[in-house]
Amino acid sequence: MHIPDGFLDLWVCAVMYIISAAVIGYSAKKLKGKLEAPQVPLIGIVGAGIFAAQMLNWPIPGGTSAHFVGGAIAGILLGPYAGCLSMVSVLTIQCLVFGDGGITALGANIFNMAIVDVFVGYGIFKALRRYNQDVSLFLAGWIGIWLGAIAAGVEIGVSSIFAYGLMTTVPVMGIWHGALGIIEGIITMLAVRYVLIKQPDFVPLPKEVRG
Amino acid sequence: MVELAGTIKVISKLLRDFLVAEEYAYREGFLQGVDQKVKLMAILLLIVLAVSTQNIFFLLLLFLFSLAMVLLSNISLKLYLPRFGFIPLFAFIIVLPWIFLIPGQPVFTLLGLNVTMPGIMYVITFTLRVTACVSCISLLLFTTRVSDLLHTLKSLRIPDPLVDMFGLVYRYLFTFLSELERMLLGRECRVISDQGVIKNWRDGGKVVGNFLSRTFSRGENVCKAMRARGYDGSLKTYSRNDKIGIKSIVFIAFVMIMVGIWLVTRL
Amino acid sequence: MARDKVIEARNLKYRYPDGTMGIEKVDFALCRGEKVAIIGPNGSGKSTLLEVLAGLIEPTEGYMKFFGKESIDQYELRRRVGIMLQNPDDVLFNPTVREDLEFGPAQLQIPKEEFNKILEEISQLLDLKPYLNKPPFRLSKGEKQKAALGSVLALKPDILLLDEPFSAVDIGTKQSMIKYLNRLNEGGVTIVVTAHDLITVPLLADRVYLLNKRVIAEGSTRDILTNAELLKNNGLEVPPLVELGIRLGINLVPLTVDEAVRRLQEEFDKS
Repeated sequence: MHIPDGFLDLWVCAVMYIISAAVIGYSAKKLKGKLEAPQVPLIGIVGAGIFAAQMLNWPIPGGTSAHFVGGAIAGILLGPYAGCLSMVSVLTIQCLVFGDGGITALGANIFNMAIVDVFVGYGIFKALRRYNQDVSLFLAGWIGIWLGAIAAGVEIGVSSIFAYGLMTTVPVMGIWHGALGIIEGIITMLAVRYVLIKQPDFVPLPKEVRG
Repeated sequence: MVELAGTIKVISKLLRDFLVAEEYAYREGFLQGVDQKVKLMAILLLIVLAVSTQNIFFLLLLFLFSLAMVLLSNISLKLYLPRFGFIPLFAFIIVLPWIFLIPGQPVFTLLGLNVTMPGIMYVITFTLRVTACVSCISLLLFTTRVSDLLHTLKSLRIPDPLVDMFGLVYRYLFTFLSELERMLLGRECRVISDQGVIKNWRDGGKVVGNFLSRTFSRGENVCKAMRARGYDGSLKTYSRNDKIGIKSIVFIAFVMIMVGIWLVTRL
Repeated sequence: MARDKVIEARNLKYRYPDGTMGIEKVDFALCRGEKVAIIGPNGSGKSTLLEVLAGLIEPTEGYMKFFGKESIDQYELRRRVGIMLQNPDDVLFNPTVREDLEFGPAQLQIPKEEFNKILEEISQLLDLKPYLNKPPFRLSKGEKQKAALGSVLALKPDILLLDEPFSAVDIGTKQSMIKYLNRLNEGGVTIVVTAHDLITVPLLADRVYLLNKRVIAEGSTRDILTNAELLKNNGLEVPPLVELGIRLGINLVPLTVDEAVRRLQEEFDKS
């Protein structure tokens, strides 16, 4: 789901950079003062953990395999603001150190995976947790990544540099990642449930930060 | 359930790619000697130029320019090209249908469909653009040490705490990858029989959950270690004085020539 | 004349947030220039005690004095008390070893010129020159341990607290680290190490605390380490030389190989 350079028009890149920078700034502002100093490094280290876990291979029928993104997990475990910064760190290092995703497309990639996935995932978990925790976790992982993929579809769809229009890109991304997203949902559910069962009072960050 | 062999393959590829690139970043060479800030900004500028042009000639030139930089920086093309080759290939396959879809002068007929000249031109331009861009960004990966890159980001006014988080992602990724590998191998040794899909998935979730809780405790320990050495919430670093040397000036000149060509193609 | 106490703690108790007991009713005193070992089995609270002594975690109960002062400001505490945590991967959190060495001094705003001198000295002594620009994850365990020690020493602490510093290093590194630590001590640095493996203790400590949640025994290294009963009862392995000495009925049980050679030679000469 990392968009390379050359798929997005410059104006799309610029718009996405501005939106992403604004959300990052807002998240940082939300965290400021509420976070005890030593917890700042924790956000980066959890990012490294999510990056590592993204390397896991989940075989799917048909012989291919899937990898999860983990934005919803970050949002649920760290809270949306810290989760967002954690994913921003992952995506930036992936772009500048590992060549995953383009440098002009970084704003867009951050928007899709560190903003949409994180905030939507967190929101769904928050809203539905009281009914059924497992279902809320599954939907958080699934819909988070699905909407992230649709956002990617919109970004490349409106770009004239990429010949396919919205009517193609959005359905393709939506259907493909809607299906793959089921895996993201299952992993989100199983992994977060495990953390919560093992440590029911699990509080890596103060409550106000996690929302 | 997590597939062990596949995962290890992915991890190994990531490590190998990274280590090869890093190896070159430590060697002597042209781009290795260019000021980091200049290099990062110039590469960003070149990619922006590539994204905002339809000119096949410029894109081809930019790709060749990046290859020339590779040679000047003592990097082996044999290692350089395969590093990102799959991205242009992927781009090419995705846009290939447009050889039929763009209306224009038919060149020949394939499977009963007309292949048009504008179609061919579009596919070539698109693929070439993606290739040039990814080749330019790879220049950065192959010639920059990560610690220098992080310093550059700070000097470009990216907020310090954010850059420090980037640094921690880089620092602990490798530690976590080997931890993850150990966990998977340990699990593989204990599981004897095929235990059915549901149990398998549940186990996979456990691995991820367990692994994530470990990252949290690692995080707490690192915070402790930082506090022990005086960290109080705002990281302080010593200033570095980077000088812009002759290599930087030569590189700026090269890039300016590319900008000039870009401007000419726009006329 | 009694030497001045640099750390004094009475009735320390630490309970983890999840309710498990870390340490209980610990009295601890450390004099300037001492070399002290805290020994005890796994889970006996050694690391917890060390972190409390470093002022990294607040004791749940108890009374502490640093350098004879009831309260000490963080800057002075961090500057004068250095602690090396058990896992070097936790200590080395920077992209390169050089930046790890820089970290402490930079946080405490020690002038750069002064730091450069420290860097030169430490990398020389610990043989860190070849690794300075390397990322820590590229180092072997022993190299990491040395780099971690270096990054703690960069603050030039008066008191050095080391949590199992030799758990992963090879023999050669261990010996050179012990030599170096003893040299530091001669230069006036007070040293506290924790250990569950007792072989290195006689080489590095004059006084020993035996900890098992509370202080079970305290005394000179000789008194504690030759008390086989006490060690066994607290889940510690009696050092082979001590075992040998006791079984042979040697009058003064040896603690180090050098000592053992001397004793045995004496015994041979007698017979």
